[in-house]
Amino acid sequence: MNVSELVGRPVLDLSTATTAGRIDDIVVDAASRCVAGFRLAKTSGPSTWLAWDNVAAVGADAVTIERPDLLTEEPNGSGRGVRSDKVLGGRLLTDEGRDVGPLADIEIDAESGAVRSLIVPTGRMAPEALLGIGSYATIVHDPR
Amino acid sequence: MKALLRGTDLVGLPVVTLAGDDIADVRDVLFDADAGQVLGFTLNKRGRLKGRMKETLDRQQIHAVGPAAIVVPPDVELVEQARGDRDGSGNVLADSVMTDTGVRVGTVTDVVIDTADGRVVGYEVLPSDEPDQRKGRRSYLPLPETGAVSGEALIVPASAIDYISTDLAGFGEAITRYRDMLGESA
Repeated sequence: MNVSELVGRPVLDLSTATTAGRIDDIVVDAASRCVAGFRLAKTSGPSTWLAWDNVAAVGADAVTIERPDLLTEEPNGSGRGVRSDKVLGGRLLTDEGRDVGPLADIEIDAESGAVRSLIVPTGRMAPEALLGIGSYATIVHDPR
Repeated sequence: MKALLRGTDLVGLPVVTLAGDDIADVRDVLFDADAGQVLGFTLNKRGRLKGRMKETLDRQQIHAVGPAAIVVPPDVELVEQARGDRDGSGNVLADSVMTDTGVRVGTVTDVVIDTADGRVVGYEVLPSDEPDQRKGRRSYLPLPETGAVSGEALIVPASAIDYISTDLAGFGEAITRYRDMLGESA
């Protein structure tokens, strides 16, 4: 599954069978090469952060959570949103300083949240290539 | 393959950490003309509040120099340099290039740097026999590994003339051939 497919997907609270919000953005942690969590929009309360560990399941039509209190405040330094911080469609540089972008999408494992591959203009890059997601660019190991 | 860049190609490049954050722009290249070696870079602030930074980036702190960015480790610490300490000490631009047989080749318009080790491997020169000095075609002159003597003019061996290249793409090979030739004759 690509992270871009998750944007706009509803978050369903299983305890009340109501929609707790919609996914506005996805934060990927470059160090662990995993999804850190989701930023939500249209929530009923002030909590707009859904940590990956609090997700019950990522389904084709909704992301589910077991209780409404699993939505929290976003911790500081959680990472960059792939949408709002323009990680997708943004600059992709190698550690040799070459521009190989833009980064088209990030494929993740829907079970574990682990990055499976980076989708780039030349094809796919292995998750081990990912070095950092920063304010200026996403950095990968130079394939050469 | 040699990855060659001109000194002016590096000016304005962003300095980006391996974490993907930009910390500065390259303002100018500091280089040691006698050793034929890039020492580092002076820096400008990024963004709207552009301006000279007191700190410079030392060659040892650089992870890689590429065509799109200078890459540095995420924990890089820029050190403040005394103003004018090294700046401009290695300026060879606009110097005349003479061969050791006394023939004027032209004037230096840029330096060509091997990005792998930061060594200056050649000069971009504007040939002195070029009729139109402003629109003149640039040529690339290889340097011997030991470097050229710089004083009033830059002195290069006359044999370098045979290895002048008119485009940067083919210049890496010209340097290799030239240095091979020097190695054989030595």
